[in-house]
Amino acid sequence: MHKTFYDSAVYFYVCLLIGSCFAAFYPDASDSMMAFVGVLWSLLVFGMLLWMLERLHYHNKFTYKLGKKRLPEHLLDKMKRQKVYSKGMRSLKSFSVVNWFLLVSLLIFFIWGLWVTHSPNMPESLYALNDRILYYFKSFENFDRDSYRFFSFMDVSVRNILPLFIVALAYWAGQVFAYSNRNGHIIMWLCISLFVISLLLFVLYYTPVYNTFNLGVWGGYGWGRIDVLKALGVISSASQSSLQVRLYTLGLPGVFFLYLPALVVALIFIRNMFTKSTDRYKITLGLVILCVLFCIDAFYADDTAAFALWLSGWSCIAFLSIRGRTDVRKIYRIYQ
Amino acid sequence: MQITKPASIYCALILVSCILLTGLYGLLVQSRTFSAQQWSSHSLDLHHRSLNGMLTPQQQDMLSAEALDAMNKAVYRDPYNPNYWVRLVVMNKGNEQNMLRNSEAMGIAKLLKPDIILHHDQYIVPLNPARQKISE
Repeated sequence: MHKTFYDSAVYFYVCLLIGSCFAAFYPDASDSMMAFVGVLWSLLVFGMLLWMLERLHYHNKFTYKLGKKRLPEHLLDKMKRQKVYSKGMRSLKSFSVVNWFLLVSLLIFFIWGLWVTHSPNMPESLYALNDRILYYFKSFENFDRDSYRFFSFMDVSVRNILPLFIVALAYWAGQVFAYSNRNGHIIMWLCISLFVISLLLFVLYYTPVYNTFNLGVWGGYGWGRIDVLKALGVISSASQSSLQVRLYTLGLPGVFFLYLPALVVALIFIRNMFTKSTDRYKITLGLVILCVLFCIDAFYADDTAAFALWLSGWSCIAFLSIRGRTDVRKIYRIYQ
Repeated sequence: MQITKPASIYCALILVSCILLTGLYGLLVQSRTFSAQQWSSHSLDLHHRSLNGMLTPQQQDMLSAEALDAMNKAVYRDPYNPNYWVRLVVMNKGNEQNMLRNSEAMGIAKLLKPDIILHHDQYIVPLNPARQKISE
């Protein structure tokens, strides 16, 4: 039924997007489930990249001989090949400088997160607790105090960074379809519907958190220490918003690096406002989605369900942030 | 602003491979928290079996020691979980030799959960059936 990987990938993308969003609302959403979702998204994007690589070298295949084919057959074949080739070429627009910048800012956030977790702003009470735990373990045989870590760095990295990279993969895959698919607007409206449903579910089942933001956190306490710091009374035990949790864990620079892609995309929307190639409703919708994502981050408690909003929201933005099509389409007609 | 060189695709392939490997790591390798949960439940099962009156005192002591060892492994993997420390204290209660370690464990549990109350039933609930396979 489907002639190329690309055709199947569209369906896989849509199913995966819907599945990932609803999985995030599952009450027992675990790290393993998130890892499984991450593997599926990676496989999809890996396949798409291989498909694009093949398209890139496709022009070499044009140098084939006519052979026994008649001229109409030859022309039809050439038209088909040209269509597939141009589809691949259009999808390469997703490797724009802006997208590379978004990726680099995400990697900087990751490196900052690892660095802060490795060299955190440790309060005295946590030092004292760690010393007591080490004193307890000292009586164990073969206990190496120097190499002992109170939590696994790989675990906290997977838990905190993998969802963000899944969102990045979904955003990039969305841009590929937005550039190359003639029916991209259908997928765009599907993403918007998914975002609205996720938002409704989130607002219905989760209550907002009213807290004053403690912006004076520079270094941060690092990933994986929030619960113990709450128990020790270093930070308030009341439920915190996602933004406040990020401020505590990675400090102001961490929050800045995480919000930098959203800021850049907002600037792209504003730039698009002054060009005629993008519809106004797309710009408005994109800015509204960014505002909603920020409000959810600032006024709702940190929860895995927010992942559904991030995923569907950034998938919408992938379609909304691109400029309108300006390329000239070649149309071949055969007159008999 | 379009980069059509294959280098960008190769870079993206490497990045996606890294994400794929991270996902596989999260899927196939147990997190320390999960591993601690498994050791804790194994310890509870052993402790429950050690309370069986049909066993000889030697067998009971052996099972209690195994249960304590398993709980120590759980605490080693997730030292910030107050419940594990409390379970350790409860399992170690009659052991005169480990009084010092017991008081230390209780002190840590109190630090992690100041309002803690030692309800035996609340922390020592065995899982049934016992889990046999525990990975390191």
